Amino acid sequence: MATVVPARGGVAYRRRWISRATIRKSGLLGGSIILILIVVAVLAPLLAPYPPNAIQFLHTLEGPSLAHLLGTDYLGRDILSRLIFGARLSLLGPLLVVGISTAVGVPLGLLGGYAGGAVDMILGRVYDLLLGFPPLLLAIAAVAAFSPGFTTAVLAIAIIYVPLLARVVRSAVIVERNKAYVDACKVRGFRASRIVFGHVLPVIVPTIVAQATLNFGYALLDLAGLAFLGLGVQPPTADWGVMLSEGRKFILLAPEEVLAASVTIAVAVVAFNLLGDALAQRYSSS
Amino acid sequence: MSFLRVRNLVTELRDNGGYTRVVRDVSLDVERGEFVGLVGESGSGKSMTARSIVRLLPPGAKSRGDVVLDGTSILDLAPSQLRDVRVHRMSMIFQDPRASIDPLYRCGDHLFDALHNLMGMKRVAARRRALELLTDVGIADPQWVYRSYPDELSGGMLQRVMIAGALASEAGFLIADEPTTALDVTIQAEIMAILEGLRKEKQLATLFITHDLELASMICDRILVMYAGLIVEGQTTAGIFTTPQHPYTAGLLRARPHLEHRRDRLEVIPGRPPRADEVPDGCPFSPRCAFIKPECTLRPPAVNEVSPGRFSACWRSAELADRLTP
Repeated sequence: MATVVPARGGVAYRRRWISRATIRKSGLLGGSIILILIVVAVLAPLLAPYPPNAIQFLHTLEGPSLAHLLGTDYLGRDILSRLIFGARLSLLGPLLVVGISTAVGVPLGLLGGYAGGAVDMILGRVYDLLLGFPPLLLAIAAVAAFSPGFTTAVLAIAIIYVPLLARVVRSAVIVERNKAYVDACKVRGFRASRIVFGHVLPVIVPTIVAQATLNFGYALLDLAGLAFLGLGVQPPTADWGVMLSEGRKFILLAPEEVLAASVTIAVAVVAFNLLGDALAQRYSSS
Repeated sequence: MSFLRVRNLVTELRDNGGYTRVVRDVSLDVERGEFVGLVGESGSGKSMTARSIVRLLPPGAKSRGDVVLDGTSILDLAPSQLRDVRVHRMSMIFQDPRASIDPLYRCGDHLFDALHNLMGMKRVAARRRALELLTDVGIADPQWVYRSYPDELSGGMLQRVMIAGALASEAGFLIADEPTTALDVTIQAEIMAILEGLRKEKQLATLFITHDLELASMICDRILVMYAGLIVEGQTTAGIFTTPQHPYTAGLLRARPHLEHRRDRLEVIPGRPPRADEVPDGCPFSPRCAFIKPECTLRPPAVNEVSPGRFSACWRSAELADRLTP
């Protein structure tokens, strides 16, 4: 048999819109930003120059100064300090959303993908139903039915995120299910549960991590949206969405708070997207 | 009654709402210690026959007929009973060992898992037995193979691990589905030697599936030739090569390359095997048959016993006997 050497510039080296190396670097950038955000959230009391709820009526709606690097809000609270403390709930929320939706979505995806047939079809239609609504609208309905607050908002968003993860897991399972080693396990007499958890799940963990990372960014945005609407974290607790909502009233007078909060949210979401995309590409089977 | 007895097995696969019949009435027997070759082209239904016997079919597939392994009717088993039969009484080795072993686990885990978790052996005993099994399949350094991951081993070595895994169950029945197709010829010879050794030692009833007539002739006591989901001929290995009963078998034999009398071109059977959805009425081989008669296209020929132990599904077996001999 002749040896085939792929020619440079041939199909094997097809150009991409963004090269793999670029995606890898941007993933590194995203990861670094996320790491910094986490450190800031954990060390908030050490890093923040003021307590997040220290009111100074003599210094309301001030612009940036040496004393207040990002200025103060309408109660004279230090915006930078609130931003730093706000990182805690603003990151904890998405973390819980991703945690809950993974804990529920992965088993459902494994079940649907491996069992196939009617089970898979029914689950699929339920996902369609959930995904048919705009997520924020569903969350608003859920929050309205119960009481507004951090827990309700997190639970509502978590439920909406279940199908996103379950679907990704399901399709990954279907690919694995048809592989020869799964047949080999079956014919040796292993139970389906053992095949799924012992052999299929470990292979698709990278896919799950990548999707969960992407979902983290979206969840952060959705939770901030709910807080902005007054349905999530409640004032006076420091949270990026709450800051957006409070700063909005004085946007013409002092745009610092809105600017600071929205830029922070945007940077965080983009960071999670960059990392998620890089992970997805790194572990895609192509 | 024979150890494995298959009667009138029919298997249909689901595709786009309909069913395609890939195994169309197959009957066969395998005795203890007997090596039976199931030979056919790609798509002839040989793998599907094997998979029907162990009930390893794609979702939505249906099988009917009788598959009786040592008194147990396989097609009637509930899932938990089927699992039990698979653990203790049947094993299977596959075409591509690299795809059939989970690359995330060490080769030793592959054996240990079966012995400890399925067979219920104690940890120490299971480990010792796994090493013994690796030695049995001709591995010189079982400790090293036990510790290795599949990607560290060659294909031949992995196929030995697969065979060791199949032996772990102490099952009396083995299906070998093209076990050497993914390996090169020298390794193929080694694997065949291992299988031959096991047959003698363990009295395994083996169904050996291959598309390679010569390979089957090396090891099989009897050979069954499949075409379009049917067994068209079955007899002893020597009989297949000296006195084929079916025009298809005769055609296959003539199409082999010969070292002694070399020709510029190999002989061929005109046409190609029908897809499962285009099998003609009557004899499935009739469109390609050199001996076709009008009755061949009317009714499918029954499998008839030409002489004791020699079966053929051809209307004209008796009258063609002399003309088919190569």
